[in-house]
Amino acid sequence: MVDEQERLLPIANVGRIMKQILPPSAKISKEAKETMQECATEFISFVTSEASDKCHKENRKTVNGDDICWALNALGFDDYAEAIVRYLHKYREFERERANQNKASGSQDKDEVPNDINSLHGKQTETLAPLEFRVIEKGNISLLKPS
Amino acid sequence: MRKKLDTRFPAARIKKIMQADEDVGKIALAVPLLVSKALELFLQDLCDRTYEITLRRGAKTMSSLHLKQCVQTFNVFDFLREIVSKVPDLGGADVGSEDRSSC
Repeated sequence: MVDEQERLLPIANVGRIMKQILPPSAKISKEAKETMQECATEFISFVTSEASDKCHKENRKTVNGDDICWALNALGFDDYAEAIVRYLHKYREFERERANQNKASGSQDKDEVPNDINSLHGKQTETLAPLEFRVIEKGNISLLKPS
Repeated sequence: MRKKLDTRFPAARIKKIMQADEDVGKIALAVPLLVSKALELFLQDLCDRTYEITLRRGAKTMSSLHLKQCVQTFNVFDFLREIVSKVPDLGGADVGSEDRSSC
């Protein structure tokens, strides 16, 4: 029997994002968080399906970053697509630089510099995560007060 | 300033969800990372718009009913209609009490 939670995204991550976007005073019901969790999971399936269809049509076996960008556009998430395209370019640039660095240090040094490799991995996530693509104008929302 | 929380989603879980679809074959390494980013943007959007409704209704707690109304309001969230259809239209969620009942 597949654990229900295994087919969903971790609710902790969902909760953290919600906390980040909402003002500190905001309260969220447990139900709402769970529903958000389901919505987030559904979003993945939705985008994946579209990207996968494109791959099949083009006789490709592997879903890549461009397919995801394309799917986001096709499904009406133009804003996200724009941000993701930029993110993808940064990722590819970073990977290229990392490959060049590895070439320069020489493969025989692998045993000597395990820390460096780890820190590169760490850097990868640290460099990419803070890329803020704030397509949502938070300021405007706060202007909408109930009359 | 609010501390930036680590909001990345686990790549392995994303990959698992993607591959739950039988038609999906291999997935490039970059993909779970991109999907995680897109998820952040999506949830921020969904959350923002839902909270707008929460405020407009004068409620203190965001409930799944507000989420349902949000989905019904914006076409781009049509794919979520089935998920929110389970949410009852009537409910005391606006009172602000946590719903502890299990499914």
